[in-house]
Order: sequence, then structure tokens, then C-alpha cells
Amino acid sequence: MGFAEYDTSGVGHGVAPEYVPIEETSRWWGPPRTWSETARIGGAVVLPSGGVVLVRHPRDAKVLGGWFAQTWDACVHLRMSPSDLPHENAKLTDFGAVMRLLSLLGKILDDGSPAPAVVPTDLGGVQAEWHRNGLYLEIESDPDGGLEYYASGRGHEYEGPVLDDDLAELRECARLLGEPSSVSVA
Amino acid sequence: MPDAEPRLLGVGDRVYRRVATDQYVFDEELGRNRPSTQAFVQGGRDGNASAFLVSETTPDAVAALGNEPFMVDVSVDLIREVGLDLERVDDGLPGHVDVVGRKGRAGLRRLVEDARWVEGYEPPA
Repeated sequence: MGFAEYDTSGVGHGVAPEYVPIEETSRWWGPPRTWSETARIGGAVVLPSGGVVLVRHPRDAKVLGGWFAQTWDACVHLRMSPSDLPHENAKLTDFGAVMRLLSLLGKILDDGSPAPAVVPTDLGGVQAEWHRNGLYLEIESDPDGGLEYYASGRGHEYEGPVLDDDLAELRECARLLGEPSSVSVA
Repeated sequence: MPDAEPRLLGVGDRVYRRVATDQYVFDEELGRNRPSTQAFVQGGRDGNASAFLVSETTPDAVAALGNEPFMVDVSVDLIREVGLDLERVDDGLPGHVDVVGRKGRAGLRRLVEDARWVEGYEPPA
């Protein structure tokens, strides 16, 4: 199990363990509740290789490149403060929802996969979406822990929960999205 | 003689829906910006989504009511086709309706495909 830690910010605390399952990160790093805390404390993301990267500061993620850096960059520009909210019923983006989404993406995307567009939900969740090569895919991560997806095109039509023990469909969708655009059958 | 069945609200019309700065995306397949399906969700998938009948108001009047800078219009008939409905909101705002019903992802995807940016309220290219 690989592990890498990037800490150029000089902040953070504790001794990083060799491997931190995503579920354990809040115990190690405290319970982040706001984005400002997230920027200070960081989080962990499971990568396609099976390794875990601890990110203590948003800018640290850039060293990884590829879909992860682009997605992380997009995530840290979500609804982080009340001034980002478009209306009074919208909620701040939940740290856990972002980390669960990134962790899922780490399980289904390859290093060369295209990064998704990332959109906040009004309830504090986050949605990743792609429309490419004749396939549309969206994955939503809720603050309450729920993960759902919808796929349409290239023979795929599914709407429902993400089942952690059955990611074959999602992986196949990710593979199709990652094909060179010249094979598009839209 | 019994009253005739009330005419469905907005048949053949379209509705304006404001889009937040962070709820549109660049669609690689289409080669242009489009709203995310999340732009049609408000207060959860069972929540009512505020919209305005195109025949009863103007984009400027709708824009003045919220902070979202962008706007699309969507077919009312398609809204019904995907299993949703419209309810008039009696708050004195011209054309104000709620899009009611469970906002399923496949249905919202169809709304996104139909959505047209309103002139003067498109995101930057």
C-alpha cells in the first residue's frame, strides 16, 4: 500500500501513519467542519494505485497532477464561506462529502482519466460530472454519506446508489470517458 | 353544469430558471457551457424549485429577485414529460411557479439538454 505525504505549508500536527483509511482521517486529523479548517488540517485521498495521499494544504495537491489536482483545485473553490452561497437556503460544502467523492474517484479513475466538472449542491454536497465520448456520467456525494450516480450513453443507463463492493459499472464508464476523443460515437 | 377541467398551468410555455455562478459547467461533448443538473435542484430532490413563466415576466425582472447571475429557459411541457409539475406561487411575483415533484437524475438530464441560455444572462464563453 503506497503512501505519500505532501506538507509544504508548515502547518498540521501529529505524526502521519503509514496508511490512513479514508474513514479514519477525521480521527487522526481532528474533525474538520469548515473549509478553513480543511485548508489548515487537510485530508486523505485514496489513489488508483491503492495508496493514500494526505493533503495538508490545498496547494500541496498540485504536485500530484492529473485529474486529482484539477478536481482538488475545483473542490477548494466550492462553497467555502457564507459569501459563496447564492441564496439563504444553500449550505456550505461539506468536507466529508468532498473527501468521499475524491476517494471514490480514486477507486474508479486511472492516472490518465479526464477530470470531472465539479459542482456544489445546495444541501452541502458535491457532484462530479463528465460528458464525453458519447457518455454522460454524474456522481453526487451527500453530506450524510450517500453516494449516487447516473450514467447515460454508450449502452449504459443507470441511476442509483454507488455500491462499494460493485464498482465495475462505474469503472467501465470511467474507461470509456478516458478514451481518446477521436473515437466519440455521440 | 360542472366546471370544465382547469387548464394545466403553462402548457406550451417555457420557464426561466436562474443559475448560480458555480452550477454551470463546460460540456466537452457539446463544446459549450451548460447548466449542471444541480441547477434544477433546490432544497433537495423533493424540494420545490423556483421558476418563472416566460409568458408572464421578463428576464430582467427575474434576475432582480436573486443573486444568481445566469439564467436559462426550459420547456414546461418537458418538465411534465419527466414527471414533474408546476404550481403557482401566490406571492405577487409575476409568473412565479414552483417546479414540484421528485427530481430524478435522468429527468433533470433531459431538462439540461433542453435548457437554453437567456440572452444577456449567459455565462462567459
